[in-house]
Amino acid sequence: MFVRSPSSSRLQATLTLVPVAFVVLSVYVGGVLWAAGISFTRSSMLPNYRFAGLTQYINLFANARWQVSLGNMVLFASIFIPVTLLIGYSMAAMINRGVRGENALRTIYLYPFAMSFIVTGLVWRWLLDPNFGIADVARKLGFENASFDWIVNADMAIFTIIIAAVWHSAGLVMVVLLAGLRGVDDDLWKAIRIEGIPAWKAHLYIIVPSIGTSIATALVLMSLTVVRLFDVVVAMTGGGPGIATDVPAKFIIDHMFERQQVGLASAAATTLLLLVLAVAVPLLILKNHRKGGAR
Amino acid sequence: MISKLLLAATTATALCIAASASAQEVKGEVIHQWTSAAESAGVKVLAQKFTELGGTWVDNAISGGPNARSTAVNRVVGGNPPAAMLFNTGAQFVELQTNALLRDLTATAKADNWQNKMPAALLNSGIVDGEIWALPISGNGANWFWFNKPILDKIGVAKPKTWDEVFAALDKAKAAGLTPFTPSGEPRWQRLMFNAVVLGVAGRDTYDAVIYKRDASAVRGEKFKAAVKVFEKLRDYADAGTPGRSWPDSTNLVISGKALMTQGGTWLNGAFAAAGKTAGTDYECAIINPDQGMVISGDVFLFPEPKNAAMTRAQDLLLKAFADVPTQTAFAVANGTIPILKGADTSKLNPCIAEASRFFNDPKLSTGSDQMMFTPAIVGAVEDAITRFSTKGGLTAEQFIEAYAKGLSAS
Repeated sequence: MFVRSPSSSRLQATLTLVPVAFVVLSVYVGGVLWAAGISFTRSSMLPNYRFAGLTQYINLFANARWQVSLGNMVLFASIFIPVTLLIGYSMAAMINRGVRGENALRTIYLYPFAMSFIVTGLVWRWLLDPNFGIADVARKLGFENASFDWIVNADMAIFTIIIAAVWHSAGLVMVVLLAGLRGVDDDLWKAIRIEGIPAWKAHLYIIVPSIGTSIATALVLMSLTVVRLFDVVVAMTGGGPGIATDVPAKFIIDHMFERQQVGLASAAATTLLLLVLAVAVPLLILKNHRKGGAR
Repeated sequence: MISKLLLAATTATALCIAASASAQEVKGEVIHQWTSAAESAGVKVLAQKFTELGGTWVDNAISGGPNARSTAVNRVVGGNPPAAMLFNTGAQFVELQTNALLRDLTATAKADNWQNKMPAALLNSGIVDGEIWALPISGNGANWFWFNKPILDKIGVAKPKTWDEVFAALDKAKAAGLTPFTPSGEPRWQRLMFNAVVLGVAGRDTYDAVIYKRDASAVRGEKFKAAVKVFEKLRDYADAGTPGRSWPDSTNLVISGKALMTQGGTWLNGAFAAAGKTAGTDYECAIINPDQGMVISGDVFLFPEPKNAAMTRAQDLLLKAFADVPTQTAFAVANGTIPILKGADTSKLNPCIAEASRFFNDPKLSTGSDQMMFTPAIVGAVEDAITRFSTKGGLTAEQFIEAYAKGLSAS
């Protein structure tokens, strides 16, 4: 039998990783550091290096649109994540009980995720249009006073985006959690049945804790959706009515390109990155911790 | 990964070979955002003239002005500039010029007599320190209101000329159970409409003080406030579907007889024409309170500092094609915009464009748009203020005036 010496296989691994490490360090980390640096300059259309201290950050946090964007992101996250998790878990638990046509159902549930967020956004935009959408169908069915104007109502529009995003992501969360559920030992289910534990109690206290890794994965994926939130907003409301559904990513793109305020946009991007790290790092630590504990 | 790199390398080599093989060919790549039916027809006219002059037109149409412009800027900064790129008339190009990334067009302009060919307002917007950096290519009037003629007849109203007549017509349409007003709800078109109201209500002096001098005290003055009130009143006539609706969708509601009025620049005329409608019998166009004049906007071509002699030649030919009077006029007719060169044959123009052309060529009846005078940062800041005011339950008139005044010093 051919046995590779440990030192040669380590060398090979190192050699393989060098280009990747180089790309990660120079492109990603380098790009992030550069953007962070630019956020302390007066850059407008093109980057320059005239130091401006914290001016861009002071302007950023005095900007009503940025405040609304951040508030929307927090509101979106606090509803989108739990609701998607709940729906995704319910679908996974249902399929896991061995319903007929599992493959077909799984495809249907996952289907929205296969669509671009832009398409999702446009479809929902027309569904929710106060003149031509669901409201019009209801009126034609005889409910003459039917009206559903959330998408053009500044106070409610953000919830229409949450609805579309939940619809889009629930299937993916289901698939991730289903993989976790499939990993639960049959003996555990048998024990639950023998003990006669009610289903909801069994799920809440026994099954959910035992698929912690899958849940952490789903949480990371959903958190990414939250910070990247852009295309569905552009397609559904364009950030409106007014600035009611603006989100940080849209704020950054608008200022980086159309408004030629690279410094301000970089300050916003850097702030967003710090927020992401504040949320993602604890989740990743939790995930790794669980993985280590399970073995 | 490796295979992708290989593929990229082979493609690049192939491109190099192809490029050197056809060194005689004068290739001119043009980045623009003209993608609608009328706009593409216009581009074709320009490309044809360039081909006649011996060039090879390399079309790079990118949907959406900001997308096209950021692509062009990235290409210029990355050292691989196109021969020409389309920007809006105004301050957008200045930073490229300060960084020595643009070709100085002064000599060409002198040789080709641009001074006498183009309206001063347009040409001046491309001048920095006495040198010319931008070639105006299209002109539009921005402060037009558009009416469905059969509805006007039905409610027994003539084409409105004053704000009182506008509101009277809107009330009558409303009373007749019709949708009175369907403006576009996208922030940049809300900004356009706001400027139309400022010029038409507060008057030319106030408008010019705000737009040309960024005078915050004019913004806080009584005349501006009166304009804000009229805008607020107009907003309340807008239908429920307004927020976020694009201008073609909004115009379509007037074209199809579902609504009486919408607002937008001369480009709306193209939408009516494309639907087979005739000005005067199917629709009407009007500037309200026209004595104050028309807001001019437009597009310019910028020519990046050429990388080699071949590119200089291509740019020379492009400049020749774009500033040629018959070509420019044919382009404007196809595109539905105003012919900007003097001596253009206006007989083929539709009545609305012909009327706009009259305003356009009279310095007393035309003034610049905010985009021509403001930096993009200021345009963005006042746009945020306007769109927040345009939303029911958003800013109050007083809060809005403060936000607008503050926006004038954004950077």
